Amino acid sequence: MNSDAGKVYVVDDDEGVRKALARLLRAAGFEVKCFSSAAEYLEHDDRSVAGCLLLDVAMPGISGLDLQDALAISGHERAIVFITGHGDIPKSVRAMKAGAIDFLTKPFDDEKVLAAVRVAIEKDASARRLRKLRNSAEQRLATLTPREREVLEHVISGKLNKQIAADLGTVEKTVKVHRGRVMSKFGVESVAELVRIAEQAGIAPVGNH
Amino acid sequence: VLAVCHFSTQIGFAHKIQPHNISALWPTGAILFSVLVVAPVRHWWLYIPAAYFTSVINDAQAGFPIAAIWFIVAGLGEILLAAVGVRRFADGARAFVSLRGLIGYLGIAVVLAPFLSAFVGAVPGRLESYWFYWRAWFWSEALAFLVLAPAILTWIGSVGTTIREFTLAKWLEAAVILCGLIAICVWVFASPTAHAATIPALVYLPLPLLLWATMRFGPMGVNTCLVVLAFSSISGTVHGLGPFAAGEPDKSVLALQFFLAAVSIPLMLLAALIKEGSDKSISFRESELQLQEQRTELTHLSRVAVLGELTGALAHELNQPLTAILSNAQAAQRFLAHNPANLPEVYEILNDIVVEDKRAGEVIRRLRALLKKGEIQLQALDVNEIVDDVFELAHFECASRGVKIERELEASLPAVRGDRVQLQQVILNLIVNACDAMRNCELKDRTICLATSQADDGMVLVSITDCGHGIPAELGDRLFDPFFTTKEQGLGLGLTICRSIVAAHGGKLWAANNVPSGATFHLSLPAVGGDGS
Repeated sequence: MNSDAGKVYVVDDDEGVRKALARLLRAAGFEVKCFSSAAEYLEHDDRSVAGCLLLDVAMPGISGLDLQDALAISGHERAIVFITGHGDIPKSVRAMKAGAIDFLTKPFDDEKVLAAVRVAIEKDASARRLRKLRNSAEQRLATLTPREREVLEHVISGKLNKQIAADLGTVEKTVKVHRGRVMSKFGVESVAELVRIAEQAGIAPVGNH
Repeated sequence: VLAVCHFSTQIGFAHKIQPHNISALWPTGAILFSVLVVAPVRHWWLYIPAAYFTSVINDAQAGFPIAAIWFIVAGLGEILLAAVGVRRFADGARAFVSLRGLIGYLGIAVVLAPFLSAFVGAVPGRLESYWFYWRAWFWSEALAFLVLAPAILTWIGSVGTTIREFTLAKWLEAAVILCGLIAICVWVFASPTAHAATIPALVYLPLPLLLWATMRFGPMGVNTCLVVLAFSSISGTVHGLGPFAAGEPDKSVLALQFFLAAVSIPLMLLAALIKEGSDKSISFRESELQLQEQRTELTHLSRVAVLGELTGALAHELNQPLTAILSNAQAAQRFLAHNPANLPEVYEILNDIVVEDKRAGEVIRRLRALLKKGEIQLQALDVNEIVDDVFELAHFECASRGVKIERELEASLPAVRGDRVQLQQVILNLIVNACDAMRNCELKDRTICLATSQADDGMVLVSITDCGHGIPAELGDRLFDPFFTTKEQGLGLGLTICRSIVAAHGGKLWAANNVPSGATFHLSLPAVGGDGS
């Protein structure tokens, strides 16, 4: 039922636990992929596939927390649900601060882990959506000429064509043409939509000074 | 006491040797003395009149002769002196179990007290026969203290302790000795006066039995037998029988007294020496046993301490199978709820639950084996098996410290003889130490290697190699000293105990640094059937 939303990547060095968790998740309708170590996961990590990590904290070699850091540095974060043999408070604080969804102490109830996994997958999906929007906004932004971009920055700050023309030292008619091109390049009909997309693409309006 | 002293006084009177009215051995004084030695001082006032009751009655019937007063004063003074002296300087009733106590007893009760009291006791003998009576007093009292009092004192000391431990065989042996001795004494001392030539041979006849009693029954045996010997010989002599009845009465009494003293003193000394020796060896064995117990206790404590460092890891070891079991079971519930139920999957899950459950049980078993405070059990062991067991216990602790642990085990090693738990303890301790040694190393360098092999001389080798900072050269062998530690919370006994365990197995434990880094602890154990067995 959830397989479209994303896979669950189970990383645990203990084969018995790994197998049991995979079964439980599959029984609940998730698609599951298992790894016996953080290194193995990093090797096979496919950024394009949606999904979350169910990650053991203490593993030989790269620990779960180290993997979390490594993913953050590489800029490819996944929502992470940590599982651990003993609830170590400093470690759980560190993990949660770094954005983990949950920190579960083994052994845990199925409802708990499934709920956490659902939240994580949802978070991963929304992060992906956001990223997708930003990407498309950025792509559109790249098609603008420098002049058109200047006009855009002024438009989203709520200025009238006349004011923009004065600020940029040109005539109102030229501004109107630029504005029309920006709107068509972004594929929007209203200024309100333009403002929203510009925000996603990370473009700041010019200040009123 | 009153009854006993009355009776003994009657015996004493009955055994006087005429015509001088002297006694070879005066028993009453010795009996009172024995009572005073063992009784609390605050009861003395009760015992003293009781002991003198009969004498005083007899004296009163005779109209209180002056001599009687001298006798009482001398006797009482002597008994008090002997009793106080023996209590203070010769261990009281325990005087006969040590050489020091016995010599003190002989000096005070047998020589000093009669010697001094004889000066008073001989006064009624007047000038012309003063020394005769002095000698008579001295000998009869000395002999009483030498023969009768020791028997009474050793019996009082042994009732309830030594005697209760007697087996039937021991009782029979005692009976044989006693009956034999009585028979010989009756034959020697109660037969009509023998020919002068056979006297020495006759006199020595009781000696073998006395020696037997000395060797087997110690002070109590010899003291009892001496009483039998003394009374039979005196009784015989008084009635004109036996080897000592040959000459004049006073001469023969003196000879008899010499004889008894000459027999008693060496035998009593011998008994004291034997007793002292056996007491010492018993107490040596006891302290050896105690030391062994303490060693076992310490070994156990150190094992518990090592395991204490692993508690987090061990909880994890149990948690893993429990987690797997729970998730498996709940997955099975879901598969059964599906329509149609996924029975093959459920079947597989149940198989895995069985496996995981056994795994948890195995963790508990290993843990219990290590925590058990058992006797050392020597058996033929496979070293690889021991290393595997420890590996299972320790690998998670290592993992949680970021340490990789590897095994390089040589197949088909000869067995070693030893205690499984103790050898596991040694290896576990060395692994924990190795983890500590690598605390400040780079994560990728943290590796421990457990290796087994066989040396050229047939010894089985186990080595634990780390990649830590090594052992500083200035420490050297001090690592193994008691209470030497480099850890903040260490007690400094781990390696000491490891080494003593290995030594008790006939092996060796040593450490060496590696190039370029790290240290290896080597453990060599003699192989069963090899050179070392």
